[in-house]
This record gives sequence, structure tokens and C-alpha cells, in this order.
Amino acid sequence: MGRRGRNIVILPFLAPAVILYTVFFIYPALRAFYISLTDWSGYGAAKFVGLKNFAELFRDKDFYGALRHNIYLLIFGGIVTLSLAFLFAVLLWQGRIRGAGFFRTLLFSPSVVAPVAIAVTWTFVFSPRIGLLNGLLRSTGLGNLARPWLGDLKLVLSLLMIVGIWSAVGYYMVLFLAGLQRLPQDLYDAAKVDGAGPVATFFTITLPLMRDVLVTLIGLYTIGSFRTFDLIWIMTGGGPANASETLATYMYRTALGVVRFSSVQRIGYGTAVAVILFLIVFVATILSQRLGGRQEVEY
Amino acid sequence: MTTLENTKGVYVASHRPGGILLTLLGRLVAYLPLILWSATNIFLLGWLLLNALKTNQQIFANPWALPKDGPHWENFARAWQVGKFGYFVFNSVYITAVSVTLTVLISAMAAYVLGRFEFRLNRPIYYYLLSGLMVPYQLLLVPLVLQFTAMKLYDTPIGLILVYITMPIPFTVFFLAAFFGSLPTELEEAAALDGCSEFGIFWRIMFPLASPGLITMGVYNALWAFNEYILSLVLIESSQYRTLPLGVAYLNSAMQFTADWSLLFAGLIMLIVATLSFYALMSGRIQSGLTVGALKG
Repeated sequence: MGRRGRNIVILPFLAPAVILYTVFFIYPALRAFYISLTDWSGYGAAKFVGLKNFAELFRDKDFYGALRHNIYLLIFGGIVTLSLAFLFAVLLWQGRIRGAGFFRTLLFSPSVVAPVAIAVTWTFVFSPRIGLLNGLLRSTGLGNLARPWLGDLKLVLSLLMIVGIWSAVGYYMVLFLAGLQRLPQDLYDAAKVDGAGPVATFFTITLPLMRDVLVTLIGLYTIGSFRTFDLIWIMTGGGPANASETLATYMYRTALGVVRFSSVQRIGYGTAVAVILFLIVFVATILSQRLGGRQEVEY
Repeated sequence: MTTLENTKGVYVASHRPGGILLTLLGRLVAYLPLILWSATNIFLLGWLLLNALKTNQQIFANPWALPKDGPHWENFARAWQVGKFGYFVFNSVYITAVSVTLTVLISAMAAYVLGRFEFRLNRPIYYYLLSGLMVPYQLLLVPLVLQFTAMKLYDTPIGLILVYITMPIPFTVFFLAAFFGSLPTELEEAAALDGCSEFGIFWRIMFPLASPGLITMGVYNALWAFNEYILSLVLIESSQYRTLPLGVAYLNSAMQFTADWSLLFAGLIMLIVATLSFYALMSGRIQSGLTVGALKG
């Protein structure tokens, strides 16, 4: 590796990536922290207000509502998504099912479709007038159950959660499968010789060995769940009456909203929400890397 | 592979009287959730396509009915012209193609240096580039709008391309640096002895050697850029610059006024079929490409 003059490529090869990344990523990211310390509607000059935006956030009912919705989506959506994904992965594992490749390809397919498209498709399913769900209810004599689903204050968040689960299960299933395929097969042979049943095998071998994978995927789900914007913004816009607002939609509405830079926008305040969102994602990333890397199980 | 049946409870069962029945039951229990879940996927796409081939009156009459007087393909022509989907498809394709080519090239150059050269600033620069992995785009939205307005990049395809080149850099560099680092040194040393220039070594030897990794990142970033929504929503305003997801989203939000659902469905089908046909061609590569790096090892 000690060729002379080899190092002349270092600077020209690094420069494009470092410059673009600094100008369009790091600079705006750092600037966001400053903007979150100002009060600005988009007109005139921004006023520096220190931590006032953050102080206000801690008294803001809508902010807490959005955070609560995030936590609801994270916990219940996470449990259902990861359990189903794990179940499907175990079913498709070790080639014990015919057509495993077909199922795998089909179940993963929502992951390649634009979230925008998934959101519009499910808007169609839940639509009051032309929706598939109401159409089904009406044609089976259950017409009295038909309703504007996404307009229902009590149901809307759970419906969004179901769409989120539907779109994410295949992705996590493929990740679980990748983890399962790395497990040593001889342990399973030994367990069989010992006469261990399928349930015992799962709990004594598969689950402990998959611990790190599980922790990593919980971390991944947490980050993805807090970042989710497209699905919610397109299906409900955070409504009705903030019933499906999350930090991502609240941030967007407050800072950029429907009419950009009109006097109703609170750019500094909305950016403060984005800073909180960043901190949550940051902590989740660090935690999942710390916890997911540990090797506890020895055989 | 003899243990396989065991995990399902079938292997044990088949040795007892009535085992065949239990075997069938076990199979059913294993297949049922998979079949049901897969069926929703096919079902949704099918009914979407079906409704894209009906008139608005037919959709309103019954979303479950088949198009009685034959498929109304003219919905697609209408979306293409009246709905401006011709623009959207063109914008999406060229913005994705340009930005993916450049982001993979630029990231590969940086990753080559970071993965194979020893110099004092190597690790600091590497971690500097990687730090972006922890940043949700929401943090960048407001500053980018301000910056783009000041730089006259707001509401321009060039601006969107620049962002689409920049955002994937952290992950692409992370992935490709490991890839370049794992390549053997013999070829590159032989080329140097033959008098190949340092730039030539990268272009003619390392770049082709890394092509599996470059293709994986190309696929990953292409799907991301093609499907991206929030950045384009914030940075693009004029309707002629909209990408496919943006066009579909705007059309969807106009439904309460226009109720032109057949137009929306035709556009939606274009957006979905574009990536699904890509997926059908190379599903294995896309599955591993989209999940790459999520798990260590």
C-alpha cells in the first residue's frame, strides 16, 4: 500500500461528497437548532427568544397529544408488526412451506411501493362514499355499520396503525428471516434428538439466539415510527380535530402548513418540534446500537 | 432437514393415530395467515386496477362491481394529458436517474478513499459523513426552504436533484466504504506497477470490482428517490415540476372538490406499477438491497 503519489486522489475524491453534505445537510441541520430558538412567522426579521419555544412546548396540549399518539402507534403498532413479522418469518424459515419464495416476495411487496400510494389506496378503502369497506358492509346487510372511517375521532388512529402494520410487516419479516438463517442448524438437530417439542425449541433456542436481532429491529421500528409522515399526512392530515396528529405532522403543520409563510405559521416553534423529534430519534439510535450489539447468549 | 416438521408439531403428531388429520390441520394453521395476508395485497391492487378502468359513475355506483361495458383505458390517457401525469412521470424518471447516478458515483469516490487509504483525517471524516444517519428529514425542512429560496434553487428540479444526491450520502458511503475495504489489493498494485495512474486505478479497476455493491446502492437509492414525498412537497411548488408521488398526493387532496376518482386511480396505478414491475424483475436483489445494513453481520 506504500505507493508514492497514491494520496493525490484523497482530496479530489472526498471533496464532492463532503461539500454537498456540508452545504445541504449539516449546515441546514445546525441552522435548525438556531431557528428553534427564534420567533418568526416568515415575514420580517426572526426574533431570538432563547428557549421560550421549548418552554411553551411543555405546556402545549396539542404537542402532548401528538406525543401520546406517537407512543400509542409505537407500542401497539410495534408489538403487532414485529410479532406478525416474526411469525411469518418462522413459518417461511427452513423451507418447510411450499411456495415460501412466492409468499416472501408477495409479503415484502408493500415495501417497494411509495408510501404516498399506500396512503391513497387505503384512503379509498376507508372512503365514506366510494370506499371498499363501506361497500362491503352495505352489500352484506351491515350498512348501519358504514361510516366515514377516517373521520371517526375514536377510530382514526387505530386505522392508521393498521395501515402502518400492513405496510411494514413484510419488511420486518425479511429482516427476521435474515437473522433466522444465520442461526446454527446443529442446535436444532440436537434439540430434536433430545425430544424437545416445537414450542420448547422456539423458547429455549430460537428466541434467545434472536435477542440481538429483536432489539435491533425494535430500535429500527422506533425510529421509523417517529419519522412516519407520508401515510398520516395524506390519509388524515393529522385530523379530524388533531385526533391523529403526531410529532411529524404537528411539526409540518406548525412550521410550513398549508399556506407557506403566511402569518399563521410559527416557523421557530415548529422547528422546535423538529428538534425534539431529532432528539428522540437520536436517543433511539444510540440505545438500539448499544443494546443490540451485546452478545449475552452462549452455547 | 428432518427437524422441520417438528417445529410445527406435525412430525410428532404423524406418529400417532389420527396423525394425518393433525398434519393437515398443522399445515392449514401454517398456511392460513400467510395466505390471508398475501390475499389482501393482491386484492387491493386488483380492485385499484379495476376501478382505474371504470367511469366515475360506475365507481360511485359500486366500488366492488366489475367494469360492465369493458375497460375504460381512456382514464390513463386522460391522466397522462389532462392530469399532467406525462410531466410527473418524466420528472420522476429523470430526477431519479440523474440523482441516483451522481449520488452513487460521488459516494463511491469518497468511500473508496475512506475504505482503502490511511491518513490522519480518515476516521473523523468518516464519522462526520455518517452522523447524518441519525437525522430525521423534519429537522432539515425549514432551513432547506430558506436556503433554497436564498440560493434560487427553490421550486427547481435542480434543487430537488441536489437534495436527492445529498440525502443518501451517509448510508451509501457507510455501505460502500466497507465494500471497498473488503476488496483485494493485488489487482490495484499490479495496475500501479504497469503504470496505471491513480485515477485510472479507481475507474478501471476498483469501480468495476465494486459493481455488486454499487448496484445494490443504486437500487436502494432509486426506490427511495422515486417514492420520496416530504422533501419534494416542501421544495417544489409548480405543478409542472411535480414528481409522481407529489402529483398523486395533490390529486388526492383535490378529490373532495373534483371527485374525479377514475383519474386519481389511473395515476395511482402508474405510481404503483412503476416500482412493482421493477420489483418483479429483480425481487431478490431488491429485498436484500432494501434490508441491507439494518442487521449487522
